[in-house]
Parts: sequence; C-alpha cells; structure tokens
Amino acid sequence: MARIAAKQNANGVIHSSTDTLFSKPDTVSFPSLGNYLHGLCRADARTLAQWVNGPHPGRVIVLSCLVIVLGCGCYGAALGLWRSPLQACYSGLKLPMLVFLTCLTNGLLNSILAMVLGSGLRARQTTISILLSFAIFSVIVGAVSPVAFFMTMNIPPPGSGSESISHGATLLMHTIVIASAGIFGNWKLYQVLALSTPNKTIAGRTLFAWLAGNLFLGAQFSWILRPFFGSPTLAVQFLRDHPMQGNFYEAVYNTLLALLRNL
Amino acid sequence: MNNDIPPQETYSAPSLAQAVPPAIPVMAIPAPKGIGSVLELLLRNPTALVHHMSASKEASIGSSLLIVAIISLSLFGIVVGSFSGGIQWWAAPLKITLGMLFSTAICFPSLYIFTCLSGIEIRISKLIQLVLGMTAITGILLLGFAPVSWVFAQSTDSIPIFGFLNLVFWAIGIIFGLKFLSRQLVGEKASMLSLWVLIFLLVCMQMTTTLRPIIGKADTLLPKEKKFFLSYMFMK
Repeated sequence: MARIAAKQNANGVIHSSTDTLFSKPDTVSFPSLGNYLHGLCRADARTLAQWVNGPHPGRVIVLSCLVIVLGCGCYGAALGLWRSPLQACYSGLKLPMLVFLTCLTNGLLNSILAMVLGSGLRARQTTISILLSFAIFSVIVGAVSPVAFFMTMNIPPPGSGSESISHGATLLMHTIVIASAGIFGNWKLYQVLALSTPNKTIAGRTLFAWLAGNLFLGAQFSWILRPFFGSPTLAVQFLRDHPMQGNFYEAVYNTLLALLRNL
Repeated sequence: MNNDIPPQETYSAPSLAQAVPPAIPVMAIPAPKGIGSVLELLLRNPTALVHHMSASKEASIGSSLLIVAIISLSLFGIVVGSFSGGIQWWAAPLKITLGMLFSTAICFPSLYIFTCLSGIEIRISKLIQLVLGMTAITGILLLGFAPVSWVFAQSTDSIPIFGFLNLVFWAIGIIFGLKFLSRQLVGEKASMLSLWVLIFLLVCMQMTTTLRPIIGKADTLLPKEKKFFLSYMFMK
C-alpha cells in the first residue's frame, strides 16, 4: 500500500509520500462547469479519481450528463447529417440516449460487479467513474464533430450516383473516431480505477467486467435505436418500424450466415 | 485597495488513500444488523461476514441471506417470465427460486460430507450460512442482470437465444457464488470441493429440465415426460 501512502501537513493539505501521481497537493477547485471541463479535457487520472471520491457526487453527475448530452448530441447530428437534416436531429437525440440507456440499465450490475470483484467502490463511485469515462468520450467526439460536419458537407450526398463510396467512407471515418474516443475514455477509466482500487489486477478485472456488460448491452441498444447514420435506400425515421423486433446478435449471425452461403 | 476579495470556492479533496479502504481487521467491523448491512458485507467484505457467522450464535445472518436470495431470484424470475407472459409471470419466478433453493438443499448433505472428508472443521450451522451466502450472491448477480435480460426479453422471440443468454447470466452468477464458497472452504484437499461443485452444477442443470418450461409457453405447469438435461438442451 506504499503507493497510496499519504500524509497531511500543518495546513491540512494532503500530500502523498511516494507515488509521482501524488506529488502535487490534493487541493482541487470546486468542480464548477469551467473547472470540470478543464479537468475533463486534461483527463488527468488523479483529478478524475478525486471527483470519483470527492464530496460533490451530484454535481459531477449533473455536469457529466450535460457534457454527454452536448458532446454526443453534436456528434450524433454529424452522423445523421449525411442522410438528411431531419436524420441529423434524430441522431443528435439518440446518441446521448444510447449512452444513458446503457448506463441506467447496467447501473445495478456494474455496481454489484465492482463490489464482488473487490474494488471497494460503492454504487455512487461506480456510477461517477462510468459517467466520467463516457464524458471523456463525449468531449472527444464533440470536439471532432466540426470536422465530421465539414467532411459530411463535402462528400457526395445520397442520390448523387457515387453514394455507395461516400456512404462507406463516412461510415469508416465515424467508426474510427468513435472507436478511438472509446478506447481513450476506457484507458482513462482504467487509470482512475488503478488509483481507486486496491491493486491494478482488480482495476483491470473491474474494467473488463464493466466493458463487457456495456458493450454487450450497448450493441443491443444501438440496434433498437437504429438508424443513426441512415441508409440512403431507406426512409428517414426516428426508429425503424418494430424496433424491438429481433436483436443485434441475431442480425450479425444472419448476416454471417448469408455471407457464408454466398461464398 | 479592497483586499476583501471573496476566496475562490475550493475544497481539499479527500486523499486518494481514502478511496482504497484501509485494511481494517475483520474483528473490528461491527456485526451486521438487518438485511441491508448483511448484503453490503456479503458483497464488499465477505471475509468479515464469515467471521460474524462464526462469532454470532444467532441465525439472523442466515435468515437475512435467505431473504436476499428469495427476493433477488424471484425478481429475476419475473423478468424471465415476462418473455412469455401468461402463467409464466408467476410460474417462472416460482420455479427459479424454488429450483435453486431445492438444488442447494439436496446437495447440502454431500457438501457437508465432502467438507469433513477434506479435513475442514466446520459447524453445520456455519456451512448452512455459507451455502445461503453462495445462493444470495448468485441471486444478487442475477438481479443485476435482470434489466439486461428484460431488454432481450422484449426484443427477441427466439427461445434458444433468450434461454442461452439467461444460462450465461446464471453461469456468471453461480461462478461468483461458488468462488465465495470455495474461498471459505479451501482445505488441504480442495479436489473434494471441486467434485461437489460438479455435482451441484449437474443438479442445477437437471433442475432446469425437470421444471421446464421456465422460458416459453406450455400446456402444463410441469412436464409430463422425463428427460435428461443433455437430451433436452442439445438434442431437442
């Protein structure tokens, strides 16, 4: 436990003794919107860990939700804009919804997993940790959304003849952006967990369990909430007809089966 | 110059050392009172709970664990029952809860014998509480999976997919439950416990076949025909 040994000086400011991550005083500004955004953009694991364990959980949760709505909303709009402005509005609403539905539905499970895996995190800390990783993801995709808007405005629109190439290229671009932001958000989450749990093995196990659950359910919710991007051959809709019919994994299985049959 | 500038609102954040609970001696943790504190100890500090099982002569920990197991398994059962509706709204929770408790009960004597044969000295009352702890952990995990299961219950009509999914959830729950049990019963001859785990898993699998259908509709509450679980699950 030498890594987390800490001592308090005469002014009551806590200093750590060994770990370089703890070399600065543990005094952080009250997480106002400005401070919060600044901390989130720096994504310093030490600051994030202090928010997770700090005395203002409600404020961190509200600010994280706000950032997720704005960041994912902007990127969602960029996702749907290629198909039509209406699809942009729909996707702008649905991308934050996807994040919140996944967090809400898996909230109980993630808290239980954190406890049984020995992380020592309570339900509140689990919720904040996961929301913060999604907030980092949202900040990144939100920051990239002007570029995505620009790209979308400059590629051939649906019905221009070369739509299949532009559809594929844009889809690839969005996949790369979302995957990169997701990897970075989860890497930061791991660092936060490494600071907040007894050891790195437990941090890794907890992150793996959360990731597996969130990816599994997130894929299903993305199936239910489709379309995000909008196929050029299908109508613009908020949700497809009968959105709750079938599931993501059945669709993947059927697609693979069809591919194998055509080989 | 006015020097009375209002100080910036700051707080001294808690040390990160506070994030990791210090190693409190098990004996220093107060005995749990009520279902909530038993549940918290079970999830966060099972070693302390087991210590109190040994120290306390009251059956309150055991009864709290039993209540937790019944409630969580029933709630998970309701979600499973929502897949088919009709009588499954009440039949599935009943079958899942009673099936799990009955499987545990009929495997308990063999667990006690195997534990004794392994050279582990344990009172039968403590072993009952440990087994109830295992069931409660499994139930709590299944309760955690219940919202996920509900999403799939509403979005798929495929009985094999939904059945497989819930079997995976049950397997994850039972792994954590058995992990709790094995940590407390690790003796010199752990192979005896592994044998019991195998027996227990076989009984649970057979129970799902005996109590079929838990997922899907049926004309009768219980099946008229006897089947071995391998032929039911893989050769239907």
